[in-house]
Amino acid sequence: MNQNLDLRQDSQYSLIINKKRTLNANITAQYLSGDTLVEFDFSSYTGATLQVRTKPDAPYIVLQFSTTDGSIVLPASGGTFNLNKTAEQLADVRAGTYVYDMYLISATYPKRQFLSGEFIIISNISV
Amino acid sequence: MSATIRLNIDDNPRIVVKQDQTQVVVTGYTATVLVPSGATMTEYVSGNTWIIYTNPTGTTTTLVGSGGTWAGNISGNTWVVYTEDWTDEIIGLTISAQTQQQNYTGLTADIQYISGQTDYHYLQFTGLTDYINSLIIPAITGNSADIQYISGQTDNNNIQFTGLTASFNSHTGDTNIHYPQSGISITESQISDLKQYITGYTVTAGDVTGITSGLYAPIVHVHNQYSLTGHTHSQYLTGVTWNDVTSKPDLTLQSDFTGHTSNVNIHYPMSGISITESQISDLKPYITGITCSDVTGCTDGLYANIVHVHPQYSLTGHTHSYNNLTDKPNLTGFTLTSDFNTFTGTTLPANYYNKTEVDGLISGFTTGSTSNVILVGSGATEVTNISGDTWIVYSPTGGTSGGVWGTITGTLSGQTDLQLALNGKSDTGHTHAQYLTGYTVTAGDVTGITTSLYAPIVHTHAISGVTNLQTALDGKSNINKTIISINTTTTLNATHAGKIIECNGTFTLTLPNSMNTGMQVDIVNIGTGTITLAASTTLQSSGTKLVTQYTGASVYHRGSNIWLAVGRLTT
Repeated sequence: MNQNLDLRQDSQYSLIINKKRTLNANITAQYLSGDTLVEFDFSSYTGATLQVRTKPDAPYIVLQFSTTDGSIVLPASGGTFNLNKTAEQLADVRAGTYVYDMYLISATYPKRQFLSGEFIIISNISV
Repeated sequence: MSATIRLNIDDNPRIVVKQDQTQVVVTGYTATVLVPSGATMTEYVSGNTWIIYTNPTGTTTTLVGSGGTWAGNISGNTWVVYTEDWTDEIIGLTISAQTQQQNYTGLTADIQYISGQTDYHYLQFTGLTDYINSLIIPAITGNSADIQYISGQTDNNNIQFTGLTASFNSHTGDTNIHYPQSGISITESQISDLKQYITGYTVTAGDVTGITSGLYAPIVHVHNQYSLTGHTHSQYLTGVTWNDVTSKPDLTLQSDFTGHTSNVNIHYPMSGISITESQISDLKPYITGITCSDVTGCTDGLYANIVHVHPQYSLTGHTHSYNNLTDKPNLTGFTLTSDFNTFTGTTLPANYYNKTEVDGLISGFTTGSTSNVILVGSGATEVTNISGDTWIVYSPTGGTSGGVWGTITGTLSGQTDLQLALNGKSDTGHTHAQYLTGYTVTAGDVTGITTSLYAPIVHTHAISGVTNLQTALDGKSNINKTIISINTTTTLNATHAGKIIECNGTFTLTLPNSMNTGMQVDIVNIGTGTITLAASTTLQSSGTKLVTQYTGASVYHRGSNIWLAVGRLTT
């Protein structure tokens, strides 16, 4: 009987944000070393990109985060990275459920898959 | 497959991710051996560190400087590689601050370039005045001949120093090799090819001494007609033809040209012209443009213009057809004269009769006859009896026909139009239906209808104006029930029908007799006391008490003084 060997590097998390609201989220990434949770080391990574699309092979990007424009900030030390967008930037996206993935960039690993899953944008009530 | 966990990232969550994969180190690895091939050489350093280079056997490696890096060959494959600041950075040489020049011994190769120089023809030594005391510049590599020319120069006899800046304002040595600008002085005798005039210069009268406009005329000038003295001209210019004359004068003969000499036979004076008709090649029998005045005997009284008008009656000896006349006169009102004695048309005008025919008709009547002849007009003809057999037959002016009312006889049916008109009328004394189809009867059309007796179809009434309406309304319940408060023992009555009774306290509400069947009352305990329900006759319920605050019951009369209560009633 065949068994599955999942060689993926990414962890599956569905992310939920509010539409048309300022996003400034600090996410702490940890990994299990034995029974101990150790903070992920971002120091060897020079950049990161997170893209949101309606479906995996959709031709256009709904939302994009990147270290290039500062919407992703990787820490010099520690495992807490930052995702940020202004309310105006999030006003242009339609509420709904999308898919996303995030990869890290380094000399050794030009595209190290980090996170993936659903990206849920919640409608705002107050304008 | 791992489960998906939903994170509200606004909450700054913690997530568990996969650790980076670490590199696998394989121990006991044998170092790689690089094998050169072709012109490529390899040199093992240590471990897996190798140097790969190109060094063909038998050839000397040549290092070529690039950018700010320069290479100088010491000997064989030994090179000096240095950068722009070569005083301090010559590789392999120890520079001493005091004796920098000494350290340059051993440089047996020619200096190809000085830093900053791109052409060794122009060696620029700056800042080296104190350091170079015996600089020997060997032949510039690659230049086996003496410097013949300075760059840009093609003739070593006329060396052009370009780019000399303002600071080049003097030099020592033999100053006689050139004249400073201020010292240059040349006389005409030094100009070997001095000409009487300067080529390209336009000499004017002012440049020539002694030439004045009063003594000399410009090359192109005009002489007055009589200003040429001291010479004669023949009366005429020989060899000159009229065609040679430019600006020929206007040869229009003027009034003062009254004669000329020489051959007068070249033309006839006007008085001498005599021509006969035979000389006229296209003589016509008439001269165009001739007018009456040109013709002897032609006067307006004897001859008319080709196009002329005759008075109305001036044409004699011929006839005209009336139909040929244009603009025929309108004969309406035209008084027929005595010569209008014949009518040849086919239709006699309506107002006229042929007298002969009429006379013939009249002559047929016998005078003195006692028989009554009745003449009946027909069409446009009217007849009027004067007396006996005397009638007037005429056609009335205007109108189409008709006699005098009161005198018309015959049958009505014979007058078709009148018969039809009368057929469309109703008899006197006719009756009508009560209403006319299509006619909207108003109150004003009906005798006896007044606003005080009858109301319009659409009208309003006060409730009091409708009999028994108020009573009927009183028997109905309101959509929004009235809420009343009772706080003490009370016997309900008809006024409580359809109302909500809020009770506060501990007391008894009695349901009375003689109420209308179907009377309904809602009772609510809004207080903390106990409301007890009772009936004068019969109460049907699961309980009689409302003991809990905000509990209620609905009671209604089933008839025959039997009340029924439903709700949160306890015993």
